Amino acid sequence: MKVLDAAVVLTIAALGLSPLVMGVSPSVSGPLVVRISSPTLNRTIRLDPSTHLTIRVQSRDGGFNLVEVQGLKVRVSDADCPDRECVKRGWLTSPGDQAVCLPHRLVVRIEGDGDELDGLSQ
Amino acid sequence: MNWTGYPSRRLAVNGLLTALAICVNQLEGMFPHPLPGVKLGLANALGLAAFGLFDFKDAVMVSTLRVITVGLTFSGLGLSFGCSLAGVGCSMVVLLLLGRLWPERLSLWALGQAMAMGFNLGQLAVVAWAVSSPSLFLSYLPIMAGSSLVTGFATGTMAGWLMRKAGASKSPGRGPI
Repeated sequence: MKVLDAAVVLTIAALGLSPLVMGVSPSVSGPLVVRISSPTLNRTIRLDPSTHLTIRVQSRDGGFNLVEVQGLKVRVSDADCPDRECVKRGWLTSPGDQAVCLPHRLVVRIEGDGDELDGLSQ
Repeated sequence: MNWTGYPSRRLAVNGLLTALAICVNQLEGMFPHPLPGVKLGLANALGLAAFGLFDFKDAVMVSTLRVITVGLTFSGLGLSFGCSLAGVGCSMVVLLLLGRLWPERLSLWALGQAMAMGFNLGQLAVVAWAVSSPSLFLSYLPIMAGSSLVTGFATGTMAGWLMRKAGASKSPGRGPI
């Protein structure tokens, strides 16, 4: 151990914990919603046990992602992006869970209803 | 310094480190990663070893050549290339700032951790920019910081091992770790 080793570790830990302290990360207030954001679509859907729907998100380059909502859980069930990372992510169930499709610039994320809501909620 | 003034040897070792970095870059694809496009950064160990053996500019050469070669041959010049390039850029800035503290005041593993954090911040910034979601950056910060501590320790240890193998202990002033 050298003099400044601990300083490096503590700085990294502080950076890592800062979003939690600032309260940006998963704060659950109210019922859960899923936010779908892409260059072509911004939509917030309330999650409740009776919700069953599949949304086709068209990407700018002509591709697609299928977002499947099954009650309180959500997943990207199919996509034609090259890496299919978003599909491999599987079911999202708790606040803060998110699936990202980088080629199609899509983020699907579960949040509490009180969290940074935009005007497009429904 | 013995062989730092010995260009052919230095060039050969740097070439070897770059080749190894490309291999490690490919192998680390087998590990799970939190976000598409984001790499663990184990290949950064080779850049760190180049720094330990020689100088800052050798680290820049080994790291950027790796990213460019992998981009041109395997992963393409898409977003994951952008992630890696931004990550390497940030980690090199960290190395430039903190490198001189090693080995007197900073251990190699801690330097590795600081560089890993830089690397991860750069990658994460590119992903957050790509999906235009600043909150993505914040929400992945904890996991990226945790990952930096682990992978940075690993890369620092790997670099120290490589430097011993390459005979760094023979150069005065810069002993292993």
